[in-house]
Amino acid sequence: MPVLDHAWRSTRGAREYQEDMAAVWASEAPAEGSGSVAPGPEPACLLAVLADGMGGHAGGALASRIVCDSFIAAFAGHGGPVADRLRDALDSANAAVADRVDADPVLSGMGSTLVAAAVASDGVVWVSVGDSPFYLYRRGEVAQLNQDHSLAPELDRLADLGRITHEEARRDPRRHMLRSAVTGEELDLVDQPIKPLRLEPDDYLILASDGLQTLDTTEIERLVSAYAPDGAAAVASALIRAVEAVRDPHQDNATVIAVRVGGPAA
Amino acid sequence: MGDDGKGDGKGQAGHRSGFLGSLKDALVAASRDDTAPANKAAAPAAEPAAAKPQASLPPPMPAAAEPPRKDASPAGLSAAEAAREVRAPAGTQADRHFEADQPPTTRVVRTPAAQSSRASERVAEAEPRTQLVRGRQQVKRGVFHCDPVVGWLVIVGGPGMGAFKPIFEGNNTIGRNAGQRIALDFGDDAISGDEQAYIRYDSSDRSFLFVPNLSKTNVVSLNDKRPTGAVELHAMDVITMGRTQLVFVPFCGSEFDWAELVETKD
Repeated sequence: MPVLDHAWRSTRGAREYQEDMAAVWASEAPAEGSGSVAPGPEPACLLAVLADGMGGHAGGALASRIVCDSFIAAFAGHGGPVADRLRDALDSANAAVADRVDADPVLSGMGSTLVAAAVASDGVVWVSVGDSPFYLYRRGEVAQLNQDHSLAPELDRLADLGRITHEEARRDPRRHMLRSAVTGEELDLVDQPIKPLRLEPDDYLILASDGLQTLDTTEIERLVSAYAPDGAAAVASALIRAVEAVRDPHQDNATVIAVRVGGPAA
Repeated sequence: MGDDGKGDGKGQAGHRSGFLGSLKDALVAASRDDTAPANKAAAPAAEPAAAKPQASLPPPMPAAAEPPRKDASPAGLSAAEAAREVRAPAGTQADRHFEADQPPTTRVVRTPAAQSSRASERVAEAEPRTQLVRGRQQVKRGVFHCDPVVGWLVIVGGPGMGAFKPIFEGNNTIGRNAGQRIALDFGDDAISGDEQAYIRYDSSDRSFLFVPNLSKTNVVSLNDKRPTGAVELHAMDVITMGRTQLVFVPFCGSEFDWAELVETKD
């Protein structure tokens, strides 16, 4: 299934720094630069990577950049089954963070989430560590594909059990604590699908940092539906504009990569 | 009515096989089952009859063929369904690749240090209480053939990981030596030989107490706190001694105590 186009947009939100990092890499025609429409022959494989850094001023932004760059470099440098390449690239990215922390112990504690999606002819495969959501949009509906490695699912479970109220669960500061992240240490939790997810024409893949979750799922659904016909750039912009419009005083960095799946003969 | 049926059958079959088998043909046309030995002559007549059920089959047929084909063309899958499909049995294959991908509850175990002790504590509380123990069924009363167990310590980290030790009624000494009531003899020599700590179960108030032995050099911790006196134990609390981590699993408590089974016996 060819990728029709892709784009990313981001906002710093209420923060003074941008710790999110996004990149898209295509195996044939490298398409760098935001909002570019993949030109010429369709790429055999398109890789979209998003990393949400953490660890204070310098650390967070550095971590997400290291993770993003080393992930793409490793993915591009390997052959073989896509799922294995993703997994290997994740290990490389993790090792790169470890190396950097070893070289400069002041940076210890820095880390990053990572969600990377590779779109090839047989569908999309991803690897994900942390709480950066990866959504599939299809025919007006949005579903999160990857696991959320923050404590949010646990809090929601407690709320479902009636141990705390849903309001408490929603406001709990621990919602954003991560159970797993790329920090250079052993990876606690890694999410990968058991097989490629087949795509259909007009599907959208949305990679985001958790700052997007200022919007709830129905809102995301509504926005993507509304802008889907206008292309990936329109979808990404609309989502980021909507996040900014909420004007949350604690708005985290938010970044969105939208990948539009083309028709069979597009 | 019967005549009409016969006439029809005769006419149809007659064209193909001559007049010889007319009665047989008529029977065939009426109901194929009656004519098991019907051979050549029956065959042509059976065809239209067989075609009839088949004509009504096509609708169910594609429907029946759809599920196996689901993999090949998920045309009907919604976003949520597609997401479920690729991740449904995630526990199996994903686990083989990286054992880290586990149900969220195991996370308590994986929390090695102060990382998020509070949260893990809270989450641990959500563990289903030992409710099944109480049983919906009547248990026969009897006499003990051995020291009755009131709970267990499960080793979740360090040497002996995966093993368990029973906790008995009254005072339980914990140490490395074989003479201890709870002997952690799995090879962790950072545990004191004798009485590094005690666990006490009191059947009168059905509570468990964890009591560190402060005269020992080695420090013990409970959920990443270092108690200096007796503390009450709750289900899924994590005790760290030396390099060994233990999770406390009660059997007796508010739901059950052996007294319920023996006291009426006397």
